[in-house]
Amino acid sequence: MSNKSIGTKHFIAQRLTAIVNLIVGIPAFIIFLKVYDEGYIAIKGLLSQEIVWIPMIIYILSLSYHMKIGVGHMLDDYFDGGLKSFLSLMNNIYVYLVALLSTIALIILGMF
Amino acid sequence: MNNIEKSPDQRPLSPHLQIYRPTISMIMSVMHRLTGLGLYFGVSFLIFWFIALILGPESYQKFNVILSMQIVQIIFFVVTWAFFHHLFGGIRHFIWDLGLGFSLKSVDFLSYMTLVLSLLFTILIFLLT
Repeated sequence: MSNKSIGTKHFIAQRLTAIVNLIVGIPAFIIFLKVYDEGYIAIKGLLSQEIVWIPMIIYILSLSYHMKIGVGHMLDDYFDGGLKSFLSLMNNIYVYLVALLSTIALIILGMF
Repeated sequence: MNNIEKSPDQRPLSPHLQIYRPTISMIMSVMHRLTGLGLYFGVSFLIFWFIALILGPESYQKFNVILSMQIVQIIFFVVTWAFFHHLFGGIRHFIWDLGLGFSLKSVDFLSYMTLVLSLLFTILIFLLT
């Protein structure tokens, strides 16, 4: 992240994703806490509704991008050299895995 | 720390935290990073939850046994608190982005509110569910 023009982009993106996380995240968190001990059928039924699984995918993608920028800047602040490059790669792999696996899982749960 | 001299493209590292006298706003700023990092790893729980759901009722039942363990409940409590701490910390940043709340009094007030509201919401949620 040594590219100088990327700071403003990250500043704006971090705030836009934060707004999405707020708007979708609070209901998602409340729904999760409500259903998580209600049993398999109730949860499956809930996640098969379009009004639930599509916003959940948007939430996961927004969350992942927010995570990528946030941890990327922490790595910028506290590490340098080869270790930073390695940890940045790990950050990218982890974030893309979270985004990809969650999206696939939500599509399977929503449509099948 | 010599990376400024090595190349202007490389950015300097943050100075060590312990050289500053801690203030509430500084602690809350550090907490914002730490809770963010905690949530970063906490999110992977969701993937296990999704996989358990896809695999069917039996594996979900097994997953639920793990969820009801006391240690997992404690982790849940901490992650919930981290979620609300990061959330209210984020709202604090939005207030600053609007150009408000920059007096020393307001900064301290907003910092304490982050702590108080996050604890309050976490305890409320655990009492209600």
